[in-house]
Amino acid sequence: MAEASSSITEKFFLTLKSSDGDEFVLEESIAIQSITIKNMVEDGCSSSVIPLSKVDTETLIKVIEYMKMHSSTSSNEEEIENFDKKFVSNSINTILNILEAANFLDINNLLELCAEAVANRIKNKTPEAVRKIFNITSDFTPEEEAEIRNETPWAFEGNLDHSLD
Amino acid sequence: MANWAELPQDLLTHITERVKVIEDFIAFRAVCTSWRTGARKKFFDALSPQVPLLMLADKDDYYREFYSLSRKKVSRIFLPETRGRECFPSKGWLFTMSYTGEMNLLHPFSHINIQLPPRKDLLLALEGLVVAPEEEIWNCMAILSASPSRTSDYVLVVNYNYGRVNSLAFWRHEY
Repeated sequence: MAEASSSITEKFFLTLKSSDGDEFVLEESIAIQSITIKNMVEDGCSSSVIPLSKVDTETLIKVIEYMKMHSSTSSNEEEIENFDKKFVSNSINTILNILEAANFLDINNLLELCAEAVANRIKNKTPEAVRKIFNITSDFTPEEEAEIRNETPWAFEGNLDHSLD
Repeated sequence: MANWAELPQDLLTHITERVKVIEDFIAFRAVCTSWRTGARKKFFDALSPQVPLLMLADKDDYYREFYSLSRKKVSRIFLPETRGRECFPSKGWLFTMSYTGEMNLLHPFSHINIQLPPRKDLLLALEGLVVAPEEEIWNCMAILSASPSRTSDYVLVVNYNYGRVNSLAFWRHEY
């Protein structure tokens, strides 16, 4: 354990710095839900500001919101459940940014929540709709595209959802 | 805005593991080359329950029709191997039998074909019992103990009638 944690009753705070240069002060007990941060604290790198070069301000705010909700002793299961439901209704871009941040910060629950949210967004969609949602351009050659369709034509037909929500 | 085609492969794996419906998995893999590489087939949970496709009757051409219960639509699939054959499904495979007595296991989407002994072998066990011609064999159902896509350790059981005798034949794949 780091020297700073010698007293159990005292609260310790960490300063997290986003890639945009904004600083956020957070209780250590909350921040160490991130295994990456926990390891830094244990290695004694937490006395100064912790730079999170891969996480922008907007994403970091969301991640901190999540960590506060999931560590707070006052929030009950129902509150957490409702929070998660609302959390995954963020835009797909935000979800993907948080997913990458959760991966970098090593926050397993958050990673799972976001991966699940992405999987839910593509339910019953055509590949074209999925591309539009994620703003991806197909890089398959027409031959590859035809081959993919011929493999499983039944998967590309039927009452598919072409909408982008 | 970030380029989500470049989503790291390990994150694509995490997402793939949470896609449960096979049609969604196929669409996911059809988005772009990077996603296709990341959404490897082995990460898809093949054991998650799927809504089956119903195979419709032979129309004596090179296609077979399947009705998708989830998408409520009939799709035609090029399946020349099943022309004029009786087909019995099990574990996503088809046990097929031709009028000439040739039998095999066929995977309708990969077109992998596992040759089985000829129909007349089904008579061996019944020697002396019945004397009807071989064509008198007709079967009611075939069932696999496991999918040949997943293991070579499986047993095929065919329930068939010959004359008035109802029999079960067991066939084990050679290791």
